[in-house]
Amino acid sequence: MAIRILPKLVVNQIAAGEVVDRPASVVKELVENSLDAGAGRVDVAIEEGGRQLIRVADDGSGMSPDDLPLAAEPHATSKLESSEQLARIATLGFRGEAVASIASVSRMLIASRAVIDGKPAAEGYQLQVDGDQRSDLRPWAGNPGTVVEVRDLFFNTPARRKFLRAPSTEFGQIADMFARLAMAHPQVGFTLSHNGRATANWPRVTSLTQRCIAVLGEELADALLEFEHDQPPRLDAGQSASGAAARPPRVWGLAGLPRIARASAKFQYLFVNGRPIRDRGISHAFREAYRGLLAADRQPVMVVMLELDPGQVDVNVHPTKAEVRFRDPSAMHGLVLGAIRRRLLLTDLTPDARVGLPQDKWENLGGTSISAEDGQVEGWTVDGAGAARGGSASGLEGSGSPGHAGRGEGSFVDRFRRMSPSQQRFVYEDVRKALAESGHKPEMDDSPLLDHAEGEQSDETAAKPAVESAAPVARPVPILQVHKSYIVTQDEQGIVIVDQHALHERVMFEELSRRVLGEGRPLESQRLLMPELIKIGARRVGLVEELSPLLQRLGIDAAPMGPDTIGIHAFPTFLFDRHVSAEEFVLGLLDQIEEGRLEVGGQTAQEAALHRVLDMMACKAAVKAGDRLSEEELAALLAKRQEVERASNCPHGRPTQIRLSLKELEKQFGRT
Amino acid sequence: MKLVCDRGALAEALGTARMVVTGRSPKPVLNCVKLVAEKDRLVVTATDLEIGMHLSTSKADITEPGTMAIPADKLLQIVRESTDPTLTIESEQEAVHIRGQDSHFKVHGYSPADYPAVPAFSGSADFVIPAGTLGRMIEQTYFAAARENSRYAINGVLFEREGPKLAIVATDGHRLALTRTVLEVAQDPGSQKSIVPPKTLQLVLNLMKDPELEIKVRIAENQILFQLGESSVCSTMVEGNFPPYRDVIPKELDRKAHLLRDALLSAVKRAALLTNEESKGVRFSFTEEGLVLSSRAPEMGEAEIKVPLSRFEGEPIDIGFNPGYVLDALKAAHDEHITIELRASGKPGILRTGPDFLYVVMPVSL
Repeated sequence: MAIRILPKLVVNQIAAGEVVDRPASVVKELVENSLDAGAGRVDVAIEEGGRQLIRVADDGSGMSPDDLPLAAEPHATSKLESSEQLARIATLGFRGEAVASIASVSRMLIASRAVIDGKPAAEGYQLQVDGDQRSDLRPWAGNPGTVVEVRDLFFNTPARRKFLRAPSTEFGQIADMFARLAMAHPQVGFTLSHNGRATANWPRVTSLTQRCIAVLGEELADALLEFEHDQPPRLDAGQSASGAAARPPRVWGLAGLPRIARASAKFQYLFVNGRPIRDRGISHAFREAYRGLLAADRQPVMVVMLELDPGQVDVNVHPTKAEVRFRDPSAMHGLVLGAIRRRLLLTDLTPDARVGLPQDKWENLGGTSISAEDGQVEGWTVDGAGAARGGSASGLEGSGSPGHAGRGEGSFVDRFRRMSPSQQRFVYEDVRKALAESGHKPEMDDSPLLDHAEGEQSDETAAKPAVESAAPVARPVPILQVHKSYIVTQDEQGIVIVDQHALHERVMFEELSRRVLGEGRPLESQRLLMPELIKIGARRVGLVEELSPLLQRLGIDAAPMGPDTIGIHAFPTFLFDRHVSAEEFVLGLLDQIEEGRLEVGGQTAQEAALHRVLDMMACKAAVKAGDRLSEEELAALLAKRQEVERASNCPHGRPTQIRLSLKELEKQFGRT
Repeated sequence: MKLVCDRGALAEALGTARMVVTGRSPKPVLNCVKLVAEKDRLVVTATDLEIGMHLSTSKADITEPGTMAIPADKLLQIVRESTDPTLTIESEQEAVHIRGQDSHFKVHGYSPADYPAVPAFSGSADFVIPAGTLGRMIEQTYFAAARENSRYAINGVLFEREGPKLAIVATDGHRLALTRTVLEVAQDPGSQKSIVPPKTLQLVLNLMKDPELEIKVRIAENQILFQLGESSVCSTMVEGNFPPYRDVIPKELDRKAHLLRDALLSAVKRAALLTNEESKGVRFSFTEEGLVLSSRAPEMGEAEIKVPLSRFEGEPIDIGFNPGYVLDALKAAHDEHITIELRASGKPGILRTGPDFLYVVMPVSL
C-alpha cells in the first residue's frame, strides 16, 4: 500500500480528536482565546448542550481582515513566535491548533472587528468554515471584538457525535469548565446561557475572592478561609530556561472549613498561572493539609491559584492542557500544603452550635412553621426562642410551640449524647442547611475575607466569615462534665461543649505522632517478664513477621511462639498506662490488615499504616464517653487544646467541640 | 443486748471493718457490721462475701448478751464524732440506741439472722509466724501484684510453703517481688500454695499492732485464715494458676553493683522528675566510676544524677527502667545495702537486699 500525505481535513480531524473531545473543550478553547485577546467580557451561549450551538462573544482585541483567514489554519497563532518562547508560555493558548481543529469538525462562523491602537476598526469581517469548505471574507457589522459560533459539532465525525451524552450532562461539563475559567479571571465579566436561559452572570470584580465566592456560592462565604503565600526569592535555585532569574512562586487560595467538605473532589479548583488544571501531587497536598480534620470519605472545598515563573512549569504536556508538569513538583506540593496548613492552624475550627432559628426567620414565618423547621433540624432546637418570644410578643405566637418550651438544656444534651458520631456531623450540616435556607445570606462587600478577620462587630453573625473566630481561646474558668461524656465550659465567645473522647483522642494522637513521627524513635516499650501469648491462627503468624518493622516502630516486640500463637515480649509503656490490652490491640491491628483497611507494603504505605495505628492507639488510650473525670483531669484535658495542633477535630475528622455563641443565646432569650 | 463500750476501741474496730464494708452493696444487710456481745467481750464482724473478719475487744461491759446488724458507716460516724470516753449500746428489736452523756441516737438496723456467716479461725494452724516478719514480707510484695486479671492469677499474692520454708511472691508481668523466710513453727511438713487478694493482706497489715504477736495461718480448700490475737481474718483465695515464677528469675548475671539504698532512692526520685507519659524510662549507666541516672522528657528537659557505687563488677552497662518500679522495690527493701545485678540492656535486672528479698524488673527500651 502506497504511503500518502493525508488531506488537511483529515489531519485536522485527527488533531481535533485530541483537543476537542466534547463541547466543554470547545468552550474552553474559545474562551481562552477570548481571554488571550484581552477581553473584558465574555458571553457564552449554548444550545442543546453544545451539540447545536456554542457561541462565544468577547470584546477583546479582535482580528484584522488579514489575520482572520489564518485563524482557521492549523498551527497558526499570534501567541508564539519561536521555540524559545515555548519554554516561557504566558498565554493560555499557544499551539495554534484549537480553532482549526474545531473548524474541521463543525460549521464555524468567525466574526471579528479588530481594535487597533485602542480604536475600533471601521468595519469587521466574518468567515464561514464548514469542515474543509471555507467562504470568502465578508463584511460584518458588529461590536469590536470577536464572535465565534460553532454549530453542529462533530457533524462530520459520526463516531464522536454518537458518544456525546445527554445535553444536560454536556452542559454540566461546560458550566464546570466555564466556572473554572471565570474563577481565575475576576477582571473579566462572564455570562453563560443554555437554550436562551441565563445560568451564570458574573460581572467583573476586583478580587479573586469575590469572583470565587460568586462562583462557589455566596452561602459558603463564611466557611472559606483565604490564604496567601509568597515564597521568598532564593539565590541558589530557580534559574529559568532563558537564564533570567525566576520569579518566586506565589500561592493564593480559599480553603473550605471542614464542615463544608464534600463527598467528592469536584469542588477543588487548581490553577497554574490562570490555567485550570488537575494535578495528582497538589490534590494529595489538599488531602494532606486536612489530615485529621476530615473523615476519610470527605474532600475539602478548595481553590488554589499558583503563580509561577513560566519557566518553572511546562504546560505543553497535555493535548487539552488539563495537566502541566512542574519543574519541582515536590516544592509545589510543599508550598501548597504549607500555605493551607498554616491557615488552618491559625483558625479556631470550633463549629457554632445553632439553637432554633434566627429570629428574623420565624418572624416572617410565624409560629406554625417553627415546628416544621424544628423537625428539619431534628432535636437541635431548644425552642427557648419560641417560649421567650411568645411571652414578649404578647400572644402573637399563641400556642405556636406548645410543649417544646422547657425541654431546655437537658434534652438538648441528652439528644446529643444519644447520637452516634456520624449522626452528629449530618445533623450539624442540616442545621447549616436550614440556616442557609432561612435567608440568612452573607453579605459581600469589596473587602477580601481577611479584612473580616479583624473582627469588627457586625450584627449579621452569619455573614461574618469563620476566620473571625481565630482569636485565641482564653483559659476557661467554669468546667462541668455532663453525662460523663461532654465537658461544658466557656470562652469569651460563648459556651463551649467538648466531646471528651474526641478531644482526648486528638491529644493522644498528637502526642503519639510527635513521638513516633517527629522524633523518629520507636515508642518507649516495657519488656515483659513472661511473654503474653496470643492465639492468632496459623494464617496470621506469617503476617506478624511481615509486620515486624511497623511493630518495632510502635514499640511492640512480637514473635511467633508456635504454629498459631505469637508472644508479645514488649509493649509500649504508654498503652500499658492507659490499660490497653496487648491482645486486644494486636488482634485489632491484624483485623484491619486482613480487611484491607491497612496496607503495609512500601515506604508510603508504611507511613500511612503508622498513622492508622497511631490513630487506633489514640482511640484506645483516650478516655471514653461515660468515664467520670475529676476536676483536675477536666481542666488538664481542656488546657491541652491550646497545646495541640488541630484540636478542633478528632483524628477521624469529627469535631471535638462546638460553641453556643453569646450572640446566639442573646437571640434565643430575646435580648437583642 | 446491752453493753457499755470503750469508745476508742470501738472506733478502731469499726474503722477497720469499713475497709471491707464499703457501703455500696445493693443488699442493705451487707452495708452493716454485725455486733455480737458475748459474756466478756464485743465482737465486730464485717464481710464483703470475699473477705470477712471478726474484730474482738474486751474493753466492753456486757450486761445483756445479744446480736445485731447496724449500717457500718452511720455507726462509725456516731462513734467517731462522740466525745464521751464510753458509750452505752442497747438494742430494741432491730434498732439500736447509742447513748452518751448528752446524746441519744436511735439507728435502725437489720435482722442479724440475715447477716452472712463469717468463718472463724478453728482447728490448728498450718504455720505460725511473728507479726513483724509477716508484715515485712507483705510490704515487700503486695504492691507488685497486678491490678487486673490476666491469663495467670497474678492479681493476687502467692504464699508458697514447703516445709518450714515460706516464699511470698507477687508480679504484674513487668516486675516480680519475692521474699522468703524460714518458719520456726510449722506443724505440717508438706507444702501448700495459696493466692491471696492484696486487699486481704492490707487488712492483715492494718491489724498488726504488736510485732512480737504470733500470727496463726491456716489454709483450707479455697480459703486462707489469719488469727491475730483475739481477731481473725478469712479470705477467699484468687482462683487460677500463678505463673512458674522461678523460670523468670534470671541466673548468671555477670554485672553486679553494690550501693546504698537511700542514695539510690533519692536519685531515682529526682531523675523521675523529668520523665513524662511518653518518655517514662530512666537510663541507668553503670561503670566502675559509679552509676549515672539520666532522664529526658521531650519538650520539658533533661536530668542527670550521679550515684556512688560501693563496688561494681563486670563490664559497663546502660539500661532503662521505669523509675516507679525501681522506687517500689527500694521502699520495700528493709536493708541499707542493696545489690543490682544485670546482664544486658534488653534483659531483666535483679535488685536484692539481704538474704530474703529479691526483685526482678524488666527494662524499658531507651
